[in-house]
Amino acid sequence: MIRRGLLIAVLSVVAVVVQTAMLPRFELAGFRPDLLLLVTVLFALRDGPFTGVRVGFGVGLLQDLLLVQTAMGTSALVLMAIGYAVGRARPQLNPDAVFAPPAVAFGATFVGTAGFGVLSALLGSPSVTPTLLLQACLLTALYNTLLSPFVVVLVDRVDAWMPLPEAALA
Amino acid sequence: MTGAQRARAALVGLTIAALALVTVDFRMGDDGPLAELRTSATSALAPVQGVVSGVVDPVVAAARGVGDSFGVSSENAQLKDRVAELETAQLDYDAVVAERDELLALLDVVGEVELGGIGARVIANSASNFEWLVTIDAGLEDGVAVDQPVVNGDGLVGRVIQVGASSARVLLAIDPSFYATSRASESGEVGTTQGQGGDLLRFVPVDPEADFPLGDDVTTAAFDLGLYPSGIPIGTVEDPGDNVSGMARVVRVRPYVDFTGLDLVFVVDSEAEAALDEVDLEGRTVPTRPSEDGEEAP
Repeated sequence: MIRRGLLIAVLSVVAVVVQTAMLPRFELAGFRPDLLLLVTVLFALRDGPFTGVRVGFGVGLLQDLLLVQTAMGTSALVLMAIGYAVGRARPQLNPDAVFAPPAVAFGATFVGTAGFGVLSALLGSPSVTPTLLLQACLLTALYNTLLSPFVVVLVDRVDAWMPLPEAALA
Repeated sequence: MTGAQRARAALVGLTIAALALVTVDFRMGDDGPLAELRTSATSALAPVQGVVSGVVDPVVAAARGVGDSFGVSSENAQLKDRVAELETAQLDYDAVVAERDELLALLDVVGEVELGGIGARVIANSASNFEWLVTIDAGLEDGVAVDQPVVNGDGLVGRVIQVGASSARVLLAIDPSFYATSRASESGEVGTTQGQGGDLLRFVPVDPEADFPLGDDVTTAAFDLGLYPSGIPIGTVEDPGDNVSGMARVVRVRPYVDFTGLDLVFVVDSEAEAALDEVDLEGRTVPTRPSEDGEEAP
């Protein structure tokens, strides 16, 4: 289990580096995908709420470390909540269907980006106006949906290589 | 415990932990241990980001270059014309600068200091869609400090908000929490330029009923010992806004800098105090260095 945690941690760091150093050159109308949110959502979809909560917290903390103007812990809260929600809704989401990852990625990214925007506005960060928020939610969600097939392959690889013990999958 | 119960327990426990972090960070702000942790994380990641962007950027530039090569020869002709125009303008400019120096000497005002600084490359962007920042590959060991202005060949890029050993983070001018005291050059009106995310910058003038001709240049002003040396170009007026009294006047400014294509930037490290001394509202000079014959500054 520790090894699985480490592997997911390494995957998250790689996602962060790709997000900050590669993807800026490929912006869609000024917005980039949110790879960390995507990783959380897809792990939650595949492995349930317990994974969703833990991956969300860890990945959220990683994202918080790289922010400057938002309070530390905000991303952790949002990603954890999304991870839990997606994990809990798993039985209703038809997780093994081909269209499940993109559809869930779209919905969860939309809600997650909105949640992050609202939370950081509540905590005093001046950056978020309603128009900006709507644009961010829509475009990030679209971009994440486009990338979801690729990230799902990675998530499935991790699960095949180091699956969760049976008891945790309830 | 079933998986669902463990999930719930984990959710509650980790939510409390996250809220604790938020509270600590909120209370302690920039001096707290969490801010230091963030600086360390940025410093740790910077070398990797530097390598990745060093590999990716030339490839992207080359791909763009192939597409651009068709437009290059006509652009070349346009540029040659522009160079000729600028060379002529330069001669006029030199004469104006000489005249200005004479006049300043007459007013006994200290002249401008050349902007000194540190060159750096942009190696990464922000980790969130709600923060407009870049990471550069110069830090404390290069002389970079917090609040230093950052420019490039086109104009004002932003200011430094976090510094590590060999990397730093720059808040871009388009970030909504960025503001700079500025002046519109033709009309002479002073105000504040603020970012608005992906949208155009907004210039909020001190006098809401002034005129702002289209295309007027907006530059930084060191008014009232502001953060930026005078004269750094910011952008041009694109929409002068409505002149309705009682309503906030919003002038929209298109920045000169292309914030999606930032690569090489320059961190200005000469102090704002050493810039052109401003003449205050009553016409007296407000020197910021002690005058040479030992008189006290007012």
